[in-house]
Amino acid sequence: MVTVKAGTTHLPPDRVGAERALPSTAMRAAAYVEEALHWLPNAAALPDPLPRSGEADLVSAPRETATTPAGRRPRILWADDNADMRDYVRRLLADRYDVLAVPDGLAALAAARDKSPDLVLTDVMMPRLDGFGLLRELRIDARTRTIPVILLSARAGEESTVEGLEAGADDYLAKPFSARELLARVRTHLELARVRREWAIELEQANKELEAFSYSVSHDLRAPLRSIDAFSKALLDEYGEKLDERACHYLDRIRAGTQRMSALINDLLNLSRMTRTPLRKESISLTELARGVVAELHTREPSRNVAIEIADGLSARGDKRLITIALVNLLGNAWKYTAKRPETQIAFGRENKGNEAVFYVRDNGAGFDMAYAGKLFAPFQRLHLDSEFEGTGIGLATVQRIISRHGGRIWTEAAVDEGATFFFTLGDMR
Amino acid sequence: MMIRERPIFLVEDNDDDAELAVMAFHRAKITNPLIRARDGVEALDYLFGRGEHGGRDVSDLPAVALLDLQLPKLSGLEVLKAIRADDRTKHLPIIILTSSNEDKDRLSAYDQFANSYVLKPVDYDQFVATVLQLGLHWMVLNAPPPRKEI
Repeated sequence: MVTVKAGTTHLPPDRVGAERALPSTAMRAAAYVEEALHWLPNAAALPDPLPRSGEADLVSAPRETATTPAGRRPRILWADDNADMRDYVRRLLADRYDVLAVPDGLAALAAARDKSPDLVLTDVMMPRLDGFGLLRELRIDARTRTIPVILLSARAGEESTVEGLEAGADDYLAKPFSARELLARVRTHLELARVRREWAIELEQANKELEAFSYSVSHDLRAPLRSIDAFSKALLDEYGEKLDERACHYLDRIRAGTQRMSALINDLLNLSRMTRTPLRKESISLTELARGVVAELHTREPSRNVAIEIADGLSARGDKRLITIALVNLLGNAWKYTAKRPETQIAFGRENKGNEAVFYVRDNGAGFDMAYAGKLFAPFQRLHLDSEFEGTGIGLATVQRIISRHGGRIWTEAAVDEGATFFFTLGDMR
Repeated sequence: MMIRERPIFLVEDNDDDAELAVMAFHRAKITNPLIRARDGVEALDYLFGRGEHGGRDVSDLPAVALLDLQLPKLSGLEVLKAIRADDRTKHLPIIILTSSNEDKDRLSAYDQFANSYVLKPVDYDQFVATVLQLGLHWMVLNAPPPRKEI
């Protein structure tokens, strides 16, 4: 006699709930049967396609799809105003996914924000809010921006597909479609989304490490510099009388070296801070910011003979703190590289190219050879000797990072001894 | 009137920085005795009269504590937190003296009620000037909390 025990208490714990190594083929067969059943009248004999969470594993076929990070079944939000179609697709997907089916775009939007689905599948033609409208709303909201969206539409043809993809859909499927194709595309996009999530986590990890690195640089690299500087100074102060001129000169050189290294560390930290701090965009007056920067430059060197022209009414959307840093660098450079001119001329203004606002800072200073323009924006690259114009070579790298974080571009026109003009945009179309 | 000079308490793991601080105090003509702890545990042992400082009169608080953030064993922030959590030491004026200009550090120091946050300049002349200002402010201008009778 053979006894088959019920329940799981007699089994070793590692055998309970273990995943099957091979996917069952029963599921695929079931999909075909379902597809066929759909066309039969009164096909309501099928199991409830939306099992309650606790029972999900009992009624579903073995998993073929990769599960989400939490180990739960992927959640699919499915929007279609046609009740038959809604029911059919829901059944197709219910074997492997938790499906939430809704009758229009507005309901889908609410559910997407509330239930954070792993994928949105939506019809295009729907009342209240259509598929394109839903897609647009999902892409605006930070909570739903990264959810893959597949559009389903009766409009076949290359043009509709392109239109759907250009609207930002991850995929476009024309009706009629085969059940296998739908399942394959859903699976692919869930997998792609999973890979993207993993990349995002890796990137975040890398950023954290970078932050820890900058932090340790700021602390640990400065301490020995302070020692070198201070004890050199102590030698000069306390034993200066016993040292000859040459010895004092060497000590001065040592101190100058530590000052320079300290400035480099500060600049490097500031540069990395530019990338790390979140962007807070607001409406800002560039005219006002530039005037403030120039006033500060004047205070520092009141004896300079300068003619500065700042255009009125320059405004843009941007992070006030970062844009100020950019202007401090650009106007500060203009100020610095015109120091040897009998009269300094600096202009800050705007040109309109197409529908884009292009700002510029122009000076009549030392300029540079355009052959080296490519090096200009790389950190620690300088086109002038320290003895001519001092600096660490980090200013324009910082400016470029700020501009590109705003979605803008920066470029330059210059010639040796004929001054330089720096142009920039702030990703602001008008 | 004779005022007994309360000591300055320096919590600093780096010997060079500690020596430089002593030199700077000397130059700034600050004559208060200097007591130094090399790590966070030693700092708290001194203030709470524990370990090798067992039996010390805990009510005899320093005039001010200069606290580095990067310390072995217990960090400066942890030390600060423990000082603020103890009735005997919670009013001790604490100046964070650090190389770190990170927003995060400044924020957490003030969150834990540091009285002041001062950057250690790399330039020695500036360092001396900073110490002089600190001395003037905390030893001369600032009225400390009244001594507790225990």
